Amino acid sequence: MLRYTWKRLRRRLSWMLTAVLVVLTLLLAACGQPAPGAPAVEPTAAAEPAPAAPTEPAAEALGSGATKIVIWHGWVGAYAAEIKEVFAEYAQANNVTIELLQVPDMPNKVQVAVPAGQGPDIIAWVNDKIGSNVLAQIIQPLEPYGVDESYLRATFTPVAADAVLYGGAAYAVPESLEALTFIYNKALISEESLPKTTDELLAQAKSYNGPDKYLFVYAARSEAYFSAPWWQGAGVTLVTPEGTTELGSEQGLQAAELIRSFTEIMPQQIDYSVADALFKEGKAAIIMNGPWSIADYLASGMDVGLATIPVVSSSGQPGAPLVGVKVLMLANQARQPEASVALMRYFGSADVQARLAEVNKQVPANAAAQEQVKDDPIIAGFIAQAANGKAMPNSEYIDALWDPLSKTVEAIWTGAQSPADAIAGGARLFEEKAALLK
Amino acid sequence: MAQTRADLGARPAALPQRRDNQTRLTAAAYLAPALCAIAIVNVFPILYSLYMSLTNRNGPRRFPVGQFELTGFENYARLLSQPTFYIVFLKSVAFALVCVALFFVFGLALALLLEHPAIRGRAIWRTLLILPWAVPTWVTALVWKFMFNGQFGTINHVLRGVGLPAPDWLTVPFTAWVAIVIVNLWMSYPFFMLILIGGLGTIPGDLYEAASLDGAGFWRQLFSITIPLLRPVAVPALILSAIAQFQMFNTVYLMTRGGPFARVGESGSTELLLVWGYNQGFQGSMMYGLTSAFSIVVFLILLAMTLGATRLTNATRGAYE
Repeated sequence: MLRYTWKRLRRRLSWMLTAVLVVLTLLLAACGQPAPGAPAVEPTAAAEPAPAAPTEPAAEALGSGATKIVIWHGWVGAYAAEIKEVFAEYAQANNVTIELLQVPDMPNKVQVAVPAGQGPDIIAWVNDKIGSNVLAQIIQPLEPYGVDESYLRATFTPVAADAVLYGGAAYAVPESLEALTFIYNKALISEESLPKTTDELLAQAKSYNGPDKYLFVYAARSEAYFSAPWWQGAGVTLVTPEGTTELGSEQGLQAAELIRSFTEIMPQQIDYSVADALFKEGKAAIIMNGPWSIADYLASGMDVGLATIPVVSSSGQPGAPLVGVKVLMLANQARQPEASVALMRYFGSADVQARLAEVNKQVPANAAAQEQVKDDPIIAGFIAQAANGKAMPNSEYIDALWDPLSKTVEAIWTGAQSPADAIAGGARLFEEKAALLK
Repeated sequence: MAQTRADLGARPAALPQRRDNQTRLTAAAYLAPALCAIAIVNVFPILYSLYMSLTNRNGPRRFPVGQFELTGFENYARLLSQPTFYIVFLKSVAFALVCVALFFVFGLALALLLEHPAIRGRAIWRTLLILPWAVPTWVTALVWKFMFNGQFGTINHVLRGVGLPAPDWLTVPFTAWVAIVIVNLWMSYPFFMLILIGGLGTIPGDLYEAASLDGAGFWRQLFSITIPLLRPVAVPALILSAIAQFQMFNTVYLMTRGGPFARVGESGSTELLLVWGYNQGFQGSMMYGLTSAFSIVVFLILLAMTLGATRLTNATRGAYE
């Protein structure tokens, strides 16, 4: 009896659901009906690459040489289009084929594919995975193919060279640098009145703030990455190559007290989207954010300027963000290691990096390319900030940092723990996690 | 087994032994593809997890083949010596009990309502009420995550509209827990409603007539007739559902990732068993050994519960048949 009712109900339910879906579809179709003649299906057709290889529909092959270099990447938009153009020219001139494949969830994909011998030649990713990729035997050193420390130091800025050296060996060619900086709304605050130290920042905010009016906002509540400028500016080394942290130190306490005092000048429920919205709506004069946000601010018609993060008063050192470095790495079992490294060197050259910087408004890792693009005020702002920053650690222990650090910041922000207890807890949690990696 | 059957002499002796073997071989050949598939898809991963759980394949250093080794019960010792494991387990028990109790109350209330003779258009109501059950859980989670948003969420819009306090649901430990209970209730009450509607149909109407004549009111009838007679239907559903609560992962993970985390190093307020295990094993570096040990432990817990439940439901069935 029960079973019968069950079956009947399910059948009836599926009929009704179908009916509801059909009605909804019709409604949606009626609402979004395109003008007569408008090609409603064109985007799908256009998105399909014309001579798509039947086995790997997402891959794009550039050039027609016998030597094939396979690159896995996560590039998108106009930036990806420019890179493709750069590679297409190279493939033509050097008689190679370059196959580009956009891979979602890269760190996990390569961990499965490379040991199985199904990986690419080049992995395009960020430098923080270098250490764990070396240990997991996902990537190989570049010295045998002519990229060594002296080449890196001669070609790239110091922070970029540091970012790709692991255990004294070169493991990647850097492409561009990414760091948080102060972005201010020129309609609300002038360059001269920007705070120079964190003490000034706090004092100025207390007189500036009003209902729905904030001097300074950022994703303060629980984002570990966004808290880094304060820890590092106070003199804390977040992760050492040996797998320890100075989070629980006296300097750590100074930074923790600073983060706690930010709760007095920002909304309690702040996160990335709230801070971003406050800045865009003109309710906040300064935001701390990264290069990815600039295009959006400019597009919404704001007149924005860039300034370096102020000096952390407790140490007298400038706030030091983590400088993430986008890199090309050579996969283990790469089929064409020589050709791949030659291509990486080309990608690291000044002309190519300047070209990409102009399209993407990014800071080139190549020192000569920086000279070429520093007339752009936005790029110049990020160049100045990156020089103050610390290279994103490429040690495998960085993976043990993010979760303890964001929980520490959250506990300080909500007041669930005192700054001293929070950093002690954070350091302990880091040690537990790091011990598992040793 | 086949041997036993042969010994029982159930088969006519005239059947030649050779043909019997052949039949058996043919059967085996037909079964082989399916058995191979089961072995590869079901059996191998379970045995491989068991093997992984006995190795030290934790973190990138010991990820490559040849870099990890058997270390016995080290992962199990690490897991079971953490006080947090037991705290999280008790939290999951509390979550399961609260949820299942609410499922039953809401399911029964709606079942009674729908079975009330005054209700018209029963099929439509029933279908509408079953809809939550038909929505994929991740869609549910994301929709509710938006609705619970402190600033822009629908729920706080309504609360502010009627002048009630509007908490930032998912960032405050207690309200975040309440939120996941509400979402879980929303997803699961339809199942109980259906089961109990079925159960209500089996209760003879003359019992109620007799009770009314004796002067029993609604509540008296509910507690003395309806609930006791629903037991054979309700008890297995309650137990199975309670066990299923321990497998709760995607809804909670998508809504809160186990947080909010009040104090550093302590489990989050919505960090149920599987969410905690996932956070331990896959946050930052991949801990294959530790996570495998965790999954084996959870498997044993659920196995014990299921065996216990089977015994209990069989007992109740015996009592009512």
